[in-house]
Amino acid sequence: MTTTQIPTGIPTRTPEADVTVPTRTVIGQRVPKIEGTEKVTGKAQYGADTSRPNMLWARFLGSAHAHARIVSIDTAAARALPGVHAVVTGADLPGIVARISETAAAPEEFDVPSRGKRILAWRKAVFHHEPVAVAAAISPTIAEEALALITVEYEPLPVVLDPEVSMRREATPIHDGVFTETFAGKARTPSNVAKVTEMSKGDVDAALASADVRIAASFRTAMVHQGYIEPQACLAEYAPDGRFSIWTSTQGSFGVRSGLAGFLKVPPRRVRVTASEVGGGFGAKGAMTLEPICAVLAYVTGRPVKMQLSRSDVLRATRPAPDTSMHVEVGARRDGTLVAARAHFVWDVGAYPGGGSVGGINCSFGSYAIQDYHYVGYDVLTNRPSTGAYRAPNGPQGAYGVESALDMLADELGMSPVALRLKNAVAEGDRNPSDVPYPRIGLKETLNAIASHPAWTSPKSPPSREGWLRGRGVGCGLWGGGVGTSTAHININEDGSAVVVTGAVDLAGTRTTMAQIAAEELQIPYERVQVVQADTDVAPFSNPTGGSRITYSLGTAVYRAAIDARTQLRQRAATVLRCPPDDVEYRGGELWSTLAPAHRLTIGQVARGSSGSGQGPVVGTGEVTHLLRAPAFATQLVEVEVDPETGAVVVTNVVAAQDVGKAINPTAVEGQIQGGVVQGLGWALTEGFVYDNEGRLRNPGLLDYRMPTALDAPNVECLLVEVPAVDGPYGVRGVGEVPIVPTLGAVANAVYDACGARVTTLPISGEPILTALADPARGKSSVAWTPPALSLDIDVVIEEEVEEQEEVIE
Amino acid sequence: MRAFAYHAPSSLAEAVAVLEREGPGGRILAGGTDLLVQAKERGSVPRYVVSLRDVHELSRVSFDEAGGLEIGARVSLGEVADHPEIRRRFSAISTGASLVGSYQIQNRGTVGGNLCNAAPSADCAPPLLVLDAVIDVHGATGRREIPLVDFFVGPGRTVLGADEVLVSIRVPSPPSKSGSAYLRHTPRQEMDIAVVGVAASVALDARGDVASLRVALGAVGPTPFLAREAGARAVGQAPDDATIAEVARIAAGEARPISDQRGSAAWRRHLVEVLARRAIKIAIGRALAA
Repeated sequence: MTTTQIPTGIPTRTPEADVTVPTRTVIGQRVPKIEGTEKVTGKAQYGADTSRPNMLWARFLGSAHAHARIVSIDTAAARALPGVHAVVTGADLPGIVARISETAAAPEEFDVPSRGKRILAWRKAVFHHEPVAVAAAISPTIAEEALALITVEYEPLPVVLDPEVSMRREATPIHDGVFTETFAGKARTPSNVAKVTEMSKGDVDAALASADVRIAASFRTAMVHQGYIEPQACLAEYAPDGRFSIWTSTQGSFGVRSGLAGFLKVPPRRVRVTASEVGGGFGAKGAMTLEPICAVLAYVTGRPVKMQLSRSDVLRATRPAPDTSMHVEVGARRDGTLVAARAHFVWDVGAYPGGGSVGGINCSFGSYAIQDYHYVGYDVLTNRPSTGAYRAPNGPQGAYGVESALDMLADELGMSPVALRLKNAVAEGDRNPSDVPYPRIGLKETLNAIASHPAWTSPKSPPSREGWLRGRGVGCGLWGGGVGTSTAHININEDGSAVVVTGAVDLAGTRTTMAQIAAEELQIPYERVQVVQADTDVAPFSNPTGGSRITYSLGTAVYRAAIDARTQLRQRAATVLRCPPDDVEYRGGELWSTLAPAHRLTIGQVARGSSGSGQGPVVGTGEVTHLLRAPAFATQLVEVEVDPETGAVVVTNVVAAQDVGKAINPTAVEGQIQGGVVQGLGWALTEGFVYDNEGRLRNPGLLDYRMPTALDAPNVECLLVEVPAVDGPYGVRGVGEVPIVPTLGAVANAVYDACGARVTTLPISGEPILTALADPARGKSSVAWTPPALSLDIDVVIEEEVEEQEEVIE
Repeated sequence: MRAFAYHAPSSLAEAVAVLEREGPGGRILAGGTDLLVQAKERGSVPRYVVSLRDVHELSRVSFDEAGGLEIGARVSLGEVADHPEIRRRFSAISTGASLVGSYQIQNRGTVGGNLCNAAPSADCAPPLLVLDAVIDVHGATGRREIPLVDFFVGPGRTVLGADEVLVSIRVPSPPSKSGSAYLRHTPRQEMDIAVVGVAASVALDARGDVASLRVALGAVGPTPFLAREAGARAVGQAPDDATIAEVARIAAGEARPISDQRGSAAWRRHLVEVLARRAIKIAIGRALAA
């Protein structure tokens, strides 16, 4: 895999820097991952690797129906099985929480249809394999045997799996307590439309009517899973002092602490959370899964309780990404200028509200400057597992539709798809669909990087397989950037080394990058910095790891902590050197007075002296709560070969250009880009949940849920474009989310280029290509589409101001 | 996983004795690549397991012109895939073995296990069907031979009795001027299961016409099976594109696919025709080169 770094010549502001560092020493270096050796030698401790004496194992019983009233659950036989310590059902939860919190039982709280609250099905099951009971026993086998002894009487209810049916006025609501939320207010009658997101500007009808060329098309993506290698695992212990200790695979230990404290109705100080190494999260481990169940069982049994999901549990009953139906219309002038866009997005968010988001709109249409537009997104409930965040939530689906429509437009105009995108690409000062202006961004730079790359400029090479067809396609996408709160401490040791302490979870090399920032600012060798990811009793507060926020936000905190440590070192040195702190020079790990440069102190000497000097040890602290978002853009070129007789697709090459602001560690950045691209290829070509008519998942294993293997992953060439972000250190931007956004559309466009099949459903590979080839009109003509009659269109009332959305953690 | 009894006999006779003594509910462990997955993921834990680990007489591959090819029950897929004689004379078999799972799976899994597991999509089955394989079986009442065409009963089911062990797979030496091929369609490049698998074997006569042609299909019926009509149609014809297209069309008609998470019945039928055409073409090419 080759990489090109493309400097843009734009100077980087290094905020708050009190010295000018002429040459950076560690920033931008390909230093090896700090925890790499532990991981490849199998010593790293993942979620399931922690055990305690006298520990019990828990297993859950999943609902046999996708939608059913729970008439009764008989657990007597299960509880009587030797080795079983507890069997708990949803009905037991209010009482247990009341005992833990010493408050009155409040069963009515479980009537609120929230996945986070209903850790076990409450009165009804709303998706297949939703947990209805858990058993804790001295071994996993006995826990499983206990489950087999539980008798659940169900009264099956009608199952609705198609969001376009579920959202209709005549559809029966899955929950009594879901009322459509809109920016204007909340509906009065229950509905399966949990939320409507609307964004508009100008007169879209007039603008579309005035367009020289119009494209209208409908697209649909499948429900897909994040596909993290490590299934969720958690261990909970309850101590006689009333405290819960949790060891879990999570993206945010403080998020689990507040979430669990909220569920158990105890103050956060009664919960201590230790995050393990995480074997992939991609957004899915931002929300709690097993922690409340394990905590409840630990309390009930008085013993530590461990729970670990199977792959089948993970696929059937965690939180995948919504499938999306969308209708996209764009209008342009003959010269390619986009004048109007209109779109409907239907996000199948599954059985509980959540999962949909404005990201689907902002991450797709947000790449283009369009004067008049109207976008509506619907979060629609169905009897499938409730969905959650997956890498740039809903961005890939939306961008698939938008990028496909743009290629259809380019085709219609006889224009190069890259030129069309360049003509309409957003730049600093343009506004996104939410009407927020962009700061300095680098979309055009990524487009130019692709436009001048040989993979785009050279003639298409002939296919390597006889009878196959070769094509290439491009796509763009963005991620708005994550911010949030981060804190870091830096302890300076007596030997002049440094320890960075954070409470943020390392998903993708955070420790390495933070060590680089600390080493850079302390001007000490990278090897002399240790980074500790501590538990919630020890570490300073941080929001969860997600939204591509860590290098940007935590990086700022570490940067500030290093500056703080440096300031303290200068103050302490000033005492020794008997000069004002302002006269202390700090360079290369040494301090001296500018008045007497011959007398030099090392950091270690200052640290050793200060701990006994009355000034105390040096502990730098840095925190950040608000940064300007740093949107990151990407343009990708995908090359494919297609077998027009079978529908087989092989991706032969990907060139991924991304504005990364500043690559602190290019190897880590490439890893993010390549990972995002490969996940996008799977989503585009082979991944998708298949449900039967009763709502049971037909492919709950990795044989039939087809994620790409190493053999399917092509060469991914990374073009690291460095347009520095306005805020934060070094111009860095978050890099994790955006590389998955353009891939789906780029693949679809490449397949069209290869064989003329405009595939409007994902996954593309196989039969959909043959279907599209059999109907060549598809992808050329506009598809007429009428939005379904909604249950909310008559009685939306403004009851209250909808609270500003909480930060979504991806 | 529930506990089960484990037996590791050191001879075939002893293995059969264990099966006879313990009765129904046992499974034979060769590579374990299907057995253990089924036990762990589907909860189908056998009452007892008889491992062939120490039955060394089953780990041989032999070939001679007169006796043909014999693959012992414990021979790994990898050994079959890489065997020079099998690659040269029984191309379809080495291809089928090379497509099962990963290298790790091929190092443990066996051809015999692939057959006894009786998946409709078993990659070793169509190649062995078109090459007239015979299964050698040892049971409480002695030895018997079962032509592979009579071996499969349904998904996961064979004619093997509870006391019987597959000893070896025997394949007659192919005639001169013959060739075989196996193709399958999978959405991923490897590490996948066949949506459709098609094997073809062709023998040409002295004039260069088709003396015999066999097509076998996988994943388009409850068992892998020979598309007999398709094969019969070609006999005596010139091995040209028209013949090939006609045979492939008939084979597609003989397929009995279902729609499931791996593909629709209509697409599978279409794939049978495409892959049959391609496989026959490759087999003819090999026959001409032989």
